[in-house]
Amino acid sequence: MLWQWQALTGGQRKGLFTALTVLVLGVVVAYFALRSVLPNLPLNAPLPDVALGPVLLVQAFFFTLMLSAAVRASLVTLFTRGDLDLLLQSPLPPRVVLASRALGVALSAALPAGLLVVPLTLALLVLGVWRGGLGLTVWWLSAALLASSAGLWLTLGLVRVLGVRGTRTAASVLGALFGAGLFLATQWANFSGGRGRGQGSNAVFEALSTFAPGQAGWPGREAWLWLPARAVWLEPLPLLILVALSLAVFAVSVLALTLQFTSGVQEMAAPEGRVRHPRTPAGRLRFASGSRATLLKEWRLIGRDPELLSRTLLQLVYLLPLLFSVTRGGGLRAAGGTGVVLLTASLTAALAHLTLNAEDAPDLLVSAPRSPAALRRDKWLAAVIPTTLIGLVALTVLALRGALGTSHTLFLLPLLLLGTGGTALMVLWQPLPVRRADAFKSNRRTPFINTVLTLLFQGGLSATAFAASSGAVWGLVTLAAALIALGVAYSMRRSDVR
Amino acid sequence: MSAPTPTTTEIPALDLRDLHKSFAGKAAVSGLSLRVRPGELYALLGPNGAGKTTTIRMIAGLTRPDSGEAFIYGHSVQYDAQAAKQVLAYLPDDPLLYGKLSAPEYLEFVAGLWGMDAGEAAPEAERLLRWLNLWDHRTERVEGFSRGMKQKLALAGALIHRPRLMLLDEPLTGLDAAASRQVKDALRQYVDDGGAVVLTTHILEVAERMAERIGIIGGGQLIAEGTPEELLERTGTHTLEDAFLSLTGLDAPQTEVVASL
Repeated sequence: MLWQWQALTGGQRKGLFTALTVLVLGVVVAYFALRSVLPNLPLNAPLPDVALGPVLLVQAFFFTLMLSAAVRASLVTLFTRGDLDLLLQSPLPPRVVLASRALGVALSAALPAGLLVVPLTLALLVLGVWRGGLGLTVWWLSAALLASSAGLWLTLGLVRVLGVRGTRTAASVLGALFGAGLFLATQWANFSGGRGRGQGSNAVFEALSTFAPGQAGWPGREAWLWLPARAVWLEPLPLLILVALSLAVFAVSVLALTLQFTSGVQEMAAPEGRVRHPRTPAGRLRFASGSRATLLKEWRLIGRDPELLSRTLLQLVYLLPLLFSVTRGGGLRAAGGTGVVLLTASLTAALAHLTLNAEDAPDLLVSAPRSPAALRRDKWLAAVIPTTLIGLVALTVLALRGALGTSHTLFLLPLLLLGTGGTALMVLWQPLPVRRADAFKSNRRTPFINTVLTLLFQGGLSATAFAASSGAVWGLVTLAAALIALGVAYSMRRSDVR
Repeated sequence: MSAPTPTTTEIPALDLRDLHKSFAGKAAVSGLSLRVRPGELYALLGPNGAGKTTTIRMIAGLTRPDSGEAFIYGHSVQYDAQAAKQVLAYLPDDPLLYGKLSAPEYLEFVAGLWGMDAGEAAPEAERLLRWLNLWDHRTERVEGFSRGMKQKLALAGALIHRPRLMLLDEPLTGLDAAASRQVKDALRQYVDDGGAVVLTTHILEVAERMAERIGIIGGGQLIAEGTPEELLERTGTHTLEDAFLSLTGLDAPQTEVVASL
């Protein structure tokens, strides 16, 4: 827990404190506002059948969140913490070492969900909903134990198959998808095409209302399926079963995984890079020269960056609803073209941030006879080429499927090139280069003005692409705005790249 | 601005002329001049903060001198940087490598930076990796390498483009006996083949055994220079350690401290 807390940066801690303070104040205000009404409400009555489905879904969401955190924490606490060798060499039995580590994993799994569960519990207790408050706390801790047990099994299994690095990538991607799951669910109306927001919401509500005991083929209230939802409302038997089950699963997991843990640590924990990766040829070496060597180096580093992978995935996932929302009126013709321009530009920004701003061996580059301008061009190309190719493939597919006309496609091509190339150029404005591992750290935020200019540029180009779908002349205005934003950002680039 | 040219007929591998560099008003290097010949290993010694690393970084083009000039085989580092860097290799004391690359991928990138032809670079990389006992680790990522393996890979990176002058800042730091021996052998062979080496080290025994000439730097100035034998003769001492302490003035206070105990 302490380690998790220490991992938060100053800004995050401050934000957390602020959020908690606001929440406590909110709960106190709500209590005094509702004080006269609360005694008349059946706040601690048994949970009705119709509520079991939604409660179970929310629990499932929290559990996936905890599972994702557990896998990440397992990787760190089992394989990369520095004191592991010392602990295993000490007189402590390995089982005790694993048990203590597993408890650490459980705490790490509980923490992200706790940011939502603890305030909710607090609110429920203050408002007098003691069944919900106490039950939620017990369920949260039990679920953390279950999630950590599942996380340990999953991690040790994945490490066996994929290696430490592969598992880290898989955990990042899974975490991103789990995290985006709730957001996507809330954006259901935007995905639902021509239907209005109200109709979309109704469809979701109707689907949820049939997920209840005895409805639409679901089993009755006494079935095992509803046990977690009943436990959260402090029903004695379900709660007892849940607590006993979580403790038993946790204990059995620690006992069963001890041997695999110790052998796994010996094989993999020490030098994680010693896991072989198959892409490097085992026979004679074949090299590329000049710019191609730089491009290959950048692409290899991009391809081996799990954080970038999950970030990119998240970026695409979060942009999709926005895209469908904005372009709903124009159908696939508008959504396709706009989407390709916006997504490729957005993706280029992330790649260019790594290739142009992050460098692990700056002294090597400066001491090399290659000119800085040529190196920057190669690094710029390394960010632009993949995203432009993705954009070209997407436009070709859309054109072949008839979603885009020939003239429309031809108009979108320069927008695509301008979007990717321009976005990568705008990165040059940002602060001095950083080490790759620090590139996405929260204390290295992009300057506000650069964010605004980038949004103006990408937004302007996307709007132009949207306007092109209907031949609207106002697209020229947004194009001009985008070009001005690019010009301003480029003129403010760092002095060392002028 | 045209580049000044060396005045002597023999072109030295390295020619430093009155280099000055200050940081925040404090002189790190002050009027440093020295020459290193091709086929010579020159050890630059000095106490901590004497200006060794600043000197090396100015030669490598990483730090700009306030005044003075550095020439590498007649090419000014300041005014003809690309030609100077083409024949130069710089190995910092803590080489920064790309953890996510394998050793051959790193060498491929370095060879590309120096404009080597791929057909020439690949066999050279293989030769170096075999020679430095890294060939069996060629499919592993550098992030899993030990300190010694990383140092050897950095050395391979420095050697792959066949430089004529190597700048090595504490090249033996953190190496075990076997790796240290390997690096020393590699440097000896390189010098015997006509290459020039400037190295900084705190291990005086290395300088005494390997260097043709030793330069002792203190307060950013060259306070003594010569072969190990010349330095011993000049100070009237029997070991390079005593000569070094005598020349840098570090022996007196310590003697007083010991005497006071």
